[in-house]
Amino acid sequence: MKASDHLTQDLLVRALDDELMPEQAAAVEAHLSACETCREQYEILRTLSIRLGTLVSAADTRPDEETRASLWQELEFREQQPVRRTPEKIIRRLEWGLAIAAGLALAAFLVPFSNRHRPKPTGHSVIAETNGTIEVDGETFIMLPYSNPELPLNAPHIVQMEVPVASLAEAGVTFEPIANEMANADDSVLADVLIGLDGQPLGIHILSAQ
Amino acid sequence: MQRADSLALPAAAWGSEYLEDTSLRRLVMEHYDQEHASLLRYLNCLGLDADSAREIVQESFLKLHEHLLRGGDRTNLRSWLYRVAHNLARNRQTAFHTKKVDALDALPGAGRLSSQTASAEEELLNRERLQRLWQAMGELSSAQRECLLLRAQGFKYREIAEVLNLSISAVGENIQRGLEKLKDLCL
Repeated sequence: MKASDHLTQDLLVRALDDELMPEQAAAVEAHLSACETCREQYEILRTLSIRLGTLVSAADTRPDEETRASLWQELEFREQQPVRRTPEKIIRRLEWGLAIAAGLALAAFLVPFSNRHRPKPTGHSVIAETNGTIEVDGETFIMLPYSNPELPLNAPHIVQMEVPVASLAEAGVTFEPIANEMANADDSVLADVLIGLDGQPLGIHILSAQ
Repeated sequence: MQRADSLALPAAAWGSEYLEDTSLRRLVMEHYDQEHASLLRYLNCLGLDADSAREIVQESFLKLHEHLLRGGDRTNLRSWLYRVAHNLARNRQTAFHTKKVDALDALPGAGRLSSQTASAEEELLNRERLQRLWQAMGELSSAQRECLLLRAQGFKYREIAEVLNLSISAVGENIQRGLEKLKDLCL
């Protein structure tokens, strides 16, 4: 970096926030010691950042013993009645969801069955949400009604499970028009179920009949 | 400032034995005592009134309890809490059509800005500067404002990205552009 080339605002901000790689940080530091213009800019950004910190810390956060006591009591109550999600409960919940989303669930059978054995997404998932479907790492899920839509979608996991055809039929989903091999109500269908952060089914992707 | 994720106990302590011996409630309350003030500040700066902010903070910690009860990931509970609180705030603003801080009015906690050491003149100047900064924050996009508020709370770019569900590069860009705009408007 030549001394005559001034540092970009981006570099100055990242240097201020300690977000640069060590070699970049060293180069910025060396430049700042030699360039008054950039040093001035850096100081302006630093002052602005300090004021922002002051602004945020000035927000009213008076201690609220009532809220704390209320939270403690609510947690105490919940601990006495722990809710453990079992696979059966998930499937029951799934049935409920499908009852409302029967029409959407039918569309799941149009999804190709080709990715039955593909590896499950791990780490950072790529999620895109469009009309009634969610795409996670390239797999499309039909969205189910979700009790906690405020929870973030960026860390779901996928559980492959057998969903009884009977439960789907009860929800009004019939398979005869789509595939004869799925007509037996004693059968199950293999599905990938997208589980949200709160443990509730968020979406379903029917893979194939058993 | 001590951070909630620095509360992490030795790995062995997170096992089932620990959970049997020590209530999750106490663990949640430890996080509450450490984080509720900064969470309230963040929600307050997002434009929520004091009652709504308190309700959302309480709801966030109840969700933290559920999360821990299910054995959820504990690697960065501070980011997790902010993400849940942020989404709850966004939903509430949408559902009740409350102001979305496009027009920020009262400076939050303006009464707490006084300093015992500053002269009356300095105090007035400081207050005016902060008032100007607060008004300028209303000119930023919501993403720029949220990134800058989280940054002011000590979050790193990676953590801000987790809270707001943005890429790290988008966080950097929002912070840089937000500061540039504030610089033009305030200095």
